Amino acid sequence: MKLPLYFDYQATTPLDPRVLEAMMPYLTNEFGNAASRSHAFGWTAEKAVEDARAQVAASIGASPKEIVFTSGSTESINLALKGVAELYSDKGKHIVTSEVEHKAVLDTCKRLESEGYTVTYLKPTKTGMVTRAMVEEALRPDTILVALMWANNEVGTLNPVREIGELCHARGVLFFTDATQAVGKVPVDVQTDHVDLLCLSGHKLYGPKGVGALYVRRKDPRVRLVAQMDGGGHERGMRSGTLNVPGIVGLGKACELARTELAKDTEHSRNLRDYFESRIFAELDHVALNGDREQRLPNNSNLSFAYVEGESMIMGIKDIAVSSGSACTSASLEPSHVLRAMGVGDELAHSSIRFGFGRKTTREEVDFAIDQVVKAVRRLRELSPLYEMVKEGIDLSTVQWQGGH
Amino acid sequence: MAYSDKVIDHYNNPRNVGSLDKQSPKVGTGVVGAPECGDVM
Repeated sequence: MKLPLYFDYQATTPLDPRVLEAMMPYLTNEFGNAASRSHAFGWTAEKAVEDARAQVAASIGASPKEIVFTSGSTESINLALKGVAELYSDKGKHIVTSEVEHKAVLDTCKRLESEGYTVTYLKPTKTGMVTRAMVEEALRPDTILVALMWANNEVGTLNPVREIGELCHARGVLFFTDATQAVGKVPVDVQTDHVDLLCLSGHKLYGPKGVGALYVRRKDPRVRLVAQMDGGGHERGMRSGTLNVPGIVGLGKACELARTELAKDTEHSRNLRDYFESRIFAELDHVALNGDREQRLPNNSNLSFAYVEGESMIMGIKDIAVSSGSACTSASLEPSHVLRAMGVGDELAHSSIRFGFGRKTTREEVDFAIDQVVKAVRRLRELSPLYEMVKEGIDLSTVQWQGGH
Repeated sequence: MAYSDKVIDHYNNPRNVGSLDKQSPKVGTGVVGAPECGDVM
C-alpha cells in the first residue's frame, strides 16, 4: 500500500483513466474552438461538446438542450440563484434554503440578501435533513425559489428531493438542488424528482477539476435566467466564455461512467463503509454517527470520537487522508456549520472526522484505516482528562468551564 | 501545510501528561480549559 491512503472522496476524486483517455485528443491534436463555425477544427470540437452534453443530460434524465457547461458547482450555483433571483424579482424576492447548504449557496444567498432579497434558512432535523413539511411552512406568496442540496457534503444525509420537488411544482415555485455529492452515488432523475435547476461537478465523479454543469429546465415550467457573465453569448446566452472542450469531454465521460456504473460503485462503497463502521463501533466506545443512518450517501461516514480533539486525531491518523469538522483544520475559526445546525455540540463537532470511500478503495485499505483510527483514539483518550472524568462517572454537562479558547 | 518535526515529536512523545493520585493529601485537583476548543487540563 502506498501511503498516505485517500479517504476524502467527498473533497475530490482521482481522474478515472477512461476519462483521461477520452480527454487526451482534445488536450493535444483536437484543439479547436467549439464556437468556430468556419472550419473542421471547430466542428470537431463542437461535436465533442455536444456528445458530452448528451452524456451529462442522460446521467440526470434531462434533455441535452437543458445543460449549461460551467467551471463547476460554485459557478453553477451562483448562476442559478442570482440568475433566477434577478429574472423573477417582479414575482417576488423570497428564497428558501437551509442552514446546512454548502457555502457556495449560503454566501450567494447572503449576497442576495444585501441586494434586497429575503432568505429563509431552514433548520434541519438532528440528522441534517430538510423535510417537505419544513419547506411547506416556509413558502410565502412571494417565494420564487427553493434551493436545497440533494446530499450533504459533510454528513451525507439525503433530502427527500422528490417530495420537495412535487411541493414546489404544485405551488409554482422553482426548485434548485445542489447535486454535487449525489450524482454517481444515488439515482438522479430531474423528471421524476421534479427538479427545475441542478448543479453537478466533474471532479466529484472521477472527472476533471474546473468543469461542471447546470441543468436548466426547458419545459413545465420553462426556467429563465439572467446570465451572470457577459460576453460572446455561448451556452445559449446563459454562460459566455470559450468552452473548456477537454474538460467538458471529461465531464461527459465521467457522467456516462457514473450512470452505467452507479449500481457497482454504490455497492462497492457501501460494503466498505458498512464494514468500516461495524468494526469502529465494535472496537471503540463513545463514537457517534453524524447524519442519517438510513437516508445517507453510500460512500460517507461522518463520526465523532468523543473526548478526542479533531486536529490531534488528524495527526494521529496521518497515514490516511480525511477531513474534520473541527475548526482547527479549516480556514475558519468556527467548527462545522453543518454539525452546529444539526444541534451537535461543539465538543462533538470538534471531534468529527469524515471518511469517504470510492471506486479505488480496497478492503485492505479500510482495515489499515480502522487500525489507525482505533489506535489513535485509544492513545489520545489515555491522555484525555475528559475521558478519565467520564470513566469516573462524572457527567461533563454539569461541569462549569472556566477560561479556554 | 505539514506539521514541523518539533510538533510531531511532542505529539508522539507527549511531555508532562498523566494523572496524579487524587487521594493523596499532597495532590490538589482542578480542571481548566474549554472542551469545545480541545484544550483541557
